Amino acid sequence: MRPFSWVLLAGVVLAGCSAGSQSDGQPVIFAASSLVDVLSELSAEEAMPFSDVTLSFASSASLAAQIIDDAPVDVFISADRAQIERLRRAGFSDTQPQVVARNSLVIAVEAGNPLGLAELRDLSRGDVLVAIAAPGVPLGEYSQGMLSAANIEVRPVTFEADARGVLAKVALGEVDAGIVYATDAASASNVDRVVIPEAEAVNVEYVALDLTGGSGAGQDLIEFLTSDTGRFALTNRGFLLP
Amino acid sequence: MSRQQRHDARVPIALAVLGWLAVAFFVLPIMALVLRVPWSSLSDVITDDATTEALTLSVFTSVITTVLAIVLGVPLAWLLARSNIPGRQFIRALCTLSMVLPPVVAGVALLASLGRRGVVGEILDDWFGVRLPFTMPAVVIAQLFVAMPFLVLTVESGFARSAGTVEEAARTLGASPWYVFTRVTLPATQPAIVAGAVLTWARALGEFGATITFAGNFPGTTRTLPIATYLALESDIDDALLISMVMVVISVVILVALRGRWVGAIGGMR
Repeated sequence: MRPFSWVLLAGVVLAGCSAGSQSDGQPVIFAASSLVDVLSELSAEEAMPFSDVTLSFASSASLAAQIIDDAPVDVFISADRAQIERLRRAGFSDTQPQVVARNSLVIAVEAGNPLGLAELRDLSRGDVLVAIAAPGVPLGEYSQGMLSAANIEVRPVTFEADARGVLAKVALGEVDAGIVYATDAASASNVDRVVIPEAEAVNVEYVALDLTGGSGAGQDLIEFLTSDTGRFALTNRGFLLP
Repeated sequence: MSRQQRHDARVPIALAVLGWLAVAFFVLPIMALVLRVPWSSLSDVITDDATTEALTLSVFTSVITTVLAIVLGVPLAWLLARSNIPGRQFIRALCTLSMVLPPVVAGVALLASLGRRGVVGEILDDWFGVRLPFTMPAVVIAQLFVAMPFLVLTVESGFARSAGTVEEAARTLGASPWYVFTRVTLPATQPAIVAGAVLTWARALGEFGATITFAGNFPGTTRTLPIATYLALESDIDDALLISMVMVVISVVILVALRGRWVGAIGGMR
């Protein structure tokens, strides 16, 4: 290629960059990864008030960090209040956060529960390999809080980076048990759950924040999630209502 | 010799422009990182027990990985470069596949083979009571799986280049194949081996996805520096930036130090 063509090529590449920005009316939702199934389903069924919604899932903390770094987002749904508070401290405070769903904790065990685990205290047994989420991750904070409140000491073999990590270790049979969200345990086919009364004291809230400054799209999406259709889909997936 | 050549070469302007664009592309993110790092709390973070523990583990495991990669990777490279085994192209593709796999998938593959319920792992557990996941050896295995191909490919091209008359001469003079390999072939390939080892070490040091999937995350045994960095991102970005700077500094120091001595080969073997 001649030098001139290289310059031309560079120009074309640079021009392409600005075409991708999101002023084309397609709303963007950033959501905690435990919401992936229910939101993807709603989006695929075209049940949402917008024909095309861009969904992005990750841990609430990394999503919050992206938003603070100016990611173009209309709605953020966090798995804990801490991330919402972090955003509000960073100046994202024109609208009120709203609880759209709740969740609970269960023990995920291998299908058939071969070790016969029945209660939270069983996780401290010496023959049980346990995975829990890492401190700092919402699920890890909830899990540790529940264990401390029940005064049970568990020595896990691994602190996973997120809820799906814990579940994967159980589903693959690498650990015998893990503390996960009830909805995640329900979505995995080769995992059984042990319901624990201690979880009732844990209040896992999904808090939605409209980041459009009231321009409509954000509020519409949040209203949709709290509408009958949204609530039905959420309860269908095992979520609790606010 | 190489200096002389560089001095005389006239670089076409288009190449120079693109080359400097590439320099900016690499330098800019690192500079931005350096500027964003809250240096005032550096001493708190690097003297923090959790950080030093992760750093020690990372250095230790990545060095073992590099040694194992040389022990296994050089013979593999030799097979690929010199032998006439059938399906060589296919074997090469298989042995370097882990480079292009998403590391998390590489980790799942390791679990499926060496995990507690894995094809081989189940036998290890039943017969010998050996469980690899969540152990330090698992960290090394994960690193080796994704990083060794860098050494294999580099050394293979080294073997391919050094093939020739000197070996031929040694053989006609009656040297055994082993003698030729250790006294003629290996010395001629040494720059490629060093270059490949450095690439492998660097990749192993930064390994995250396969490690957390196969080895998990436990302080002191499997929490390497990249995993500590990732988890710190969840709670405190400033800590994460500082920990990552520790990695950047170590890598730069070692790469520069080695480059000056031996690793001219990375830029092209002569």
